[in-house]
Amino acid sequence: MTPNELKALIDIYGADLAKWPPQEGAHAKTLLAQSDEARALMRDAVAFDAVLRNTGPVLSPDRRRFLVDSIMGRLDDTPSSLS
Amino acid sequence: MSVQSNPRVLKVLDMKSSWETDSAGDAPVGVTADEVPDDALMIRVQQGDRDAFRQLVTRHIDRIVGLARRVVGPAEAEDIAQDVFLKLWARRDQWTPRGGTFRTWLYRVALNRCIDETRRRSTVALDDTPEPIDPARSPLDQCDAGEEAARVRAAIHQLPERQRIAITLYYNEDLTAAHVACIMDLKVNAVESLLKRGRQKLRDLLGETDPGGGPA
Repeated sequence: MTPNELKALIDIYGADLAKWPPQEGAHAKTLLAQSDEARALMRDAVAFDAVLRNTGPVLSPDRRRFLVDSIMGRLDDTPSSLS
Repeated sequence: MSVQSNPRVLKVLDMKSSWETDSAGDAPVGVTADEVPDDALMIRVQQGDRDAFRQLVTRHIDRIVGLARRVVGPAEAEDIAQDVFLKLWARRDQWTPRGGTFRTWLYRVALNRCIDETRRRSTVALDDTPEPIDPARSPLDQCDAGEEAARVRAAIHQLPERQRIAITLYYNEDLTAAHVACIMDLKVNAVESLLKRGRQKLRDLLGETDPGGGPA
């Protein structure tokens, strides 16, 4: 695997090698052990993955409880109204 | 479109997924490994056990609100999440443990609801809707915590629908490309293409430089 090939795979799968196809992931690990350029590419990818995952907190405990209670209080609504 | 009449939802019921043992990936924030698995709870739900359903809702409400927020928009996310769980309850007899994990079914129902909503309101600008106010957080907290996240969500909203869904499932729900493909009823290479184009577009939108220097 070359650094360019690593970059192409990062573009598809991101920086988490655990989510890559196993063979490509193994080749990437070998390259990362040998290449400064590859490690720089991976550092950048890790940072960008973190950006993509930063979509913010969703619910506070109180809000979550409110929504759960609201759903549980509506279980007997007629299903046809939800279709 | 009803869940019952939607072929994409029904298809998952007949699908023997290859990751039915992905229990580690099933645990959302705050759920420990020793808790009752989703599928076991769902079997109890099918017997009318409301306590079991409450556990499932509590366990997954965050991820469905988050998914709806990213795919549709912030203003409708909580309403969509409520609809999704009410549909699950109404259609609980349709789920089968051999047809795929509860989580797969949940995502399918949620995405169908999100897609229906985006198409229903396709003439409305998604980014015009404000974030709902959570009274448990101070305005300052919401501002500090949310500014960068809002920028990312705004960029994700600019992606075409299928790229937006693939990126959200892959990065925010931490699924593999194969998992995403099953949920979206696409081939894996089609999802890989969506992920590649989505990631490159987000790099552009978020002003991230391309480390390889090549074209996006």
